[in-house]
Amino acid sequence: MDAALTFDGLTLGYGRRTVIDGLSVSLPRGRFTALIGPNGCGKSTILKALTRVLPVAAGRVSVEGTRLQDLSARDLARRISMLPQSLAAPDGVTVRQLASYGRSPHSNIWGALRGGDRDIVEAALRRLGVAELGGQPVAALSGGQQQRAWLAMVLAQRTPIVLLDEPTTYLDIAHQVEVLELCRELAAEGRTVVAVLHDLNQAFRYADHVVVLREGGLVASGAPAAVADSATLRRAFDIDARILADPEAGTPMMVIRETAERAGRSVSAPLPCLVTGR
Amino acid sequence: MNRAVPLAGLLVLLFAAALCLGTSWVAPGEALRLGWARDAQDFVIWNHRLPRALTAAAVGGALGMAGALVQAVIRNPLASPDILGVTQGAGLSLALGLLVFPGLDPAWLPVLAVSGGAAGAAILLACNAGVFSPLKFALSGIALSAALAGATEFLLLTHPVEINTALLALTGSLWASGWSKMPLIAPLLPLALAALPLAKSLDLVALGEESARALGVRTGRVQAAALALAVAMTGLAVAIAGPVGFVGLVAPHVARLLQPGRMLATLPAAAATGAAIVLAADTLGRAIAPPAEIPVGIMTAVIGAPYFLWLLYRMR
Repeated sequence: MDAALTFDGLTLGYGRRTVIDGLSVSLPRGRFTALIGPNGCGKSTILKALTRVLPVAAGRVSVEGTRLQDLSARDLARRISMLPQSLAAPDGVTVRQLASYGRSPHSNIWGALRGGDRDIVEAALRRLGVAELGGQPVAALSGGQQQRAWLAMVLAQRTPIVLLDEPTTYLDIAHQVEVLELCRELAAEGRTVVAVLHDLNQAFRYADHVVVLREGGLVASGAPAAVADSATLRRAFDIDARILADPEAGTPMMVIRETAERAGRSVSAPLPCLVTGR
Repeated sequence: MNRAVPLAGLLVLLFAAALCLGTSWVAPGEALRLGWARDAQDFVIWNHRLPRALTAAAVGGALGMAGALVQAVIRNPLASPDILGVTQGAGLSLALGLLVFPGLDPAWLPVLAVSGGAAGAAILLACNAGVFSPLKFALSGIALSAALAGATEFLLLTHPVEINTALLALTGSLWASGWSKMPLIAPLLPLALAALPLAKSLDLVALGEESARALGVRTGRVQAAALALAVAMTGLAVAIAGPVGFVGLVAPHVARLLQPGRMLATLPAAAATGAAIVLAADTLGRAIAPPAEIPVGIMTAVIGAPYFLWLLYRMR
């Protein structure tokens, strides 16, 4: 496998609390990788280490064959872009201005944009359908529009690796699908996309590669068809799930099994309030 | 940049007013001629109002820019240099010098103020060693400032005889600002210019730690550099004029209204706004009831405090 990102014995934590303990896994180049796992298992923490928000406690991280610590801040920003989970644009910043910040790793100390930079910013705005909103303050837009403005910034950075931390969490289903389609398009252009996702079926359907994590450890890594099975999901999430074929795409689809007690209650046991007669 | 023109025009008008108004009216043409003549015997324009106006503009500009830097680093529009411990640290060391050692050579007072301000900031940084949290920084700064102000009050109350000279230095006044204070004012310009290359990074810091890092900003370094510049400018301003409150809070807000968006435009606008506020406050203070003077620190508080309340009210 041609790897864009390789972790070897990666250990990460906040203070004394270790979140990722000796993770070794590779993420394929030019593919859309989904990171899935229960809350607090360290999915976002891995992305924070890749952008050096969090220092690497132990182990090695390799970015396109170069060790992470050998890259300057600017070099790293020319290779990896990132959409954080919580987005808050400062007051007065317009959509076009936000998108233009994506050119920062390429511009001079004053942040002046050259002609080529402007073209890239406009192209990113058009691609996300927010070109006509360019002059508006980001803070005044709807949640979905804000997300697209931030994605325009990430696209304008033009990095070979794109990280997205829960890009679908606060969006309605139509916008979720748009973002997932965008991830597929970027991968088709040869960029490496790594996204933290919560919806397992979306991960199985849209991603080329799925990394399943649990409490700092790797549970499984591979194509959706290879990792989506009941035993893996039980180990990662403590759920009892069946895997079916998605009737549209044929990709794996997870449904929670009906437990015996739930099945019994819904059929025969009357609701408590009916028993007491109120 | 088109809105910079009215701001510059306002600054020129206020500067002219500062020269013309006061105990005696001097016509603008005459004021200009006297300022140009540099007559050592001229005790109205050349030896009094011109250096005083320059001092007011410099102090206001320093406080305005320091405020913009602090608000950008802490990412909170209610932050200001007044809560860095710098203003109160400088005030406490001035009070110490004036009250506990009344025979002290006045030439030491600026040194005392700058080192007291730096000490206040150093205590604050020591309290915030390790992971930098803007919220913890702001809250510990408020607590430290209150403690330092309390110590100053204690000194004032326990030294009733020397209280008058100390109060003059601690109210924030431009009284007796002659050319002798220029060596303190001169370093403000290079400090202000040194802040401009930080503008691009501060724009990105405003997007949050994660985005700033992903865009190639070494956030810790940028924040430390911006805070160091703000501390130095505030310390010098306190050494020159005593604590002049609310300018560092209000000027960046007005600047953001005039020049929203990029810090490269906001920083100079904040300096210009701060200069305008202090010039206006000092001129008003001199012109309201001559020959008595209302200290500039009281004038800025009278103007700034209601604005601060309005700001708080609007934020809810």
